Amino acid sequence: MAGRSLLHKLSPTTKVVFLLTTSLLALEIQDPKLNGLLLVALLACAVYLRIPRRVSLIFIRSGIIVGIALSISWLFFSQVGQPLYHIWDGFYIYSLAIPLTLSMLFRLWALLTSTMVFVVITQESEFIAGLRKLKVPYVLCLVFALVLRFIPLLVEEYDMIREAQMARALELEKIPLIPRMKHFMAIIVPWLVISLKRVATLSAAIDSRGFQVTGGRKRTFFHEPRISVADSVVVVALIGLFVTVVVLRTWFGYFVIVPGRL
Amino acid sequence: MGFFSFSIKTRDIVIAALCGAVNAVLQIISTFFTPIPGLSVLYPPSGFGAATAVWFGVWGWIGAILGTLFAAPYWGYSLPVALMFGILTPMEVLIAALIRRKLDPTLKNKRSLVLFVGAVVVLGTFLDALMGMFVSIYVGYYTPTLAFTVAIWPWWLADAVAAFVIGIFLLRTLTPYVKKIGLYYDGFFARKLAEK
Repeated sequence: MAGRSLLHKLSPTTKVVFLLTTSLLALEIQDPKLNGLLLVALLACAVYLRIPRRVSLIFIRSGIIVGIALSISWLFFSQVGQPLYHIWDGFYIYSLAIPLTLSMLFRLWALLTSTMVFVVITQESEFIAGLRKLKVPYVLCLVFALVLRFIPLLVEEYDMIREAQMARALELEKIPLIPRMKHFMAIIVPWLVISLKRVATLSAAIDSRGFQVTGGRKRTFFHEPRISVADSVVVVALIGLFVTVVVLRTWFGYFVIVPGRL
Repeated sequence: MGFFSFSIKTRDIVIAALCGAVNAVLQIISTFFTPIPGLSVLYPPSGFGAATAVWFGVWGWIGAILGTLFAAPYWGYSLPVALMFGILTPMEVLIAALIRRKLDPTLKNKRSLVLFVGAVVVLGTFLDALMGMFVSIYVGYYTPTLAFTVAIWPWWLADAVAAFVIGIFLLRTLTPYVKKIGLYYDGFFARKLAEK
């Protein structure tokens, strides 16, 4: 449902607010049940969007690798609550380690799903427009736009140089780790030289269009993101939910299983 | 003119953006070597960041922050988490930007090499790993026990090896080229481009 869903139709500003509030909510809640609920809600968005396989695989891979290590870390190294299971000499799994592990796992997956949903529903230009509407200085927006423009170009050039070096019998994958770093230079040096050459050309091109970093006249834009009623409702609901959670956690101790920890 | 009142030029922005993009691509490459979450055993951005900070000063450091922000989805970080990692962890890059005036950028003399290795490769990457542990504990990726007994050492080693091997190599090989094409910055905290 690329580009046609209700989430796609939201204003870029709403999408940036969605990313920020859902990420901060996941970090604010420590209770595994509620973090689980947040994860289910975000997964429902992901399912509704029918996210392409190539995109979801990147996030699933991160989720599995990071999730395994995170679980080991929290399950075996959290010494909170009472000793529950004896593993070996002087080494226990503690009673609160299990809910904490679940909470951290759901938190990680919620963060990943929120980012994945944002990446799928937001185009690069929309992201910049959303930041601009949130009154982020134009210079910063331009920097973000340039980085987004550079990344695919650089990836393409990196692949081209890597293939050229492979044609000269350099196969990095077959070289052990430390020598690999040394041979990596055969790719990185020409790649950087080509990239650095671009700086002078691009800055001259931007200057020739009358761009001024500071001062100058007020900028106007052909496309201005509009905030609809639906956008306002979503933004108010998200910010309201976040403020409620912060107040309940800070002053009433809700959503916490181990006080004093994030 | 006050210490921070230097004017920003278009070229500064383009350099920061380019450093950010290169850093992001290198970070994405690094994610293929992650045995522990957030920790790569091959981390070229550390060496690249140190070299760009010596060439471009503060713009190289801003590039390192941007790189972390844009590579965030590949590491499994969300935007607020990436901001924390981006600002707090590239300490070797910040230190390289701060000491750049005391260095010969080609590291040809012994004093410069010792200063670079001591301040950037050893101290900077250790601070990077330390801050990385604090952020990881804060967001819940590691427990304090795991962070300070196990995870900090490979993080430090991966960054230090990359800063040593890649950083020194890039500075020795590419500094003359960067100067030749007029991109090398002069002055403390990269206030103006150097004379060709």
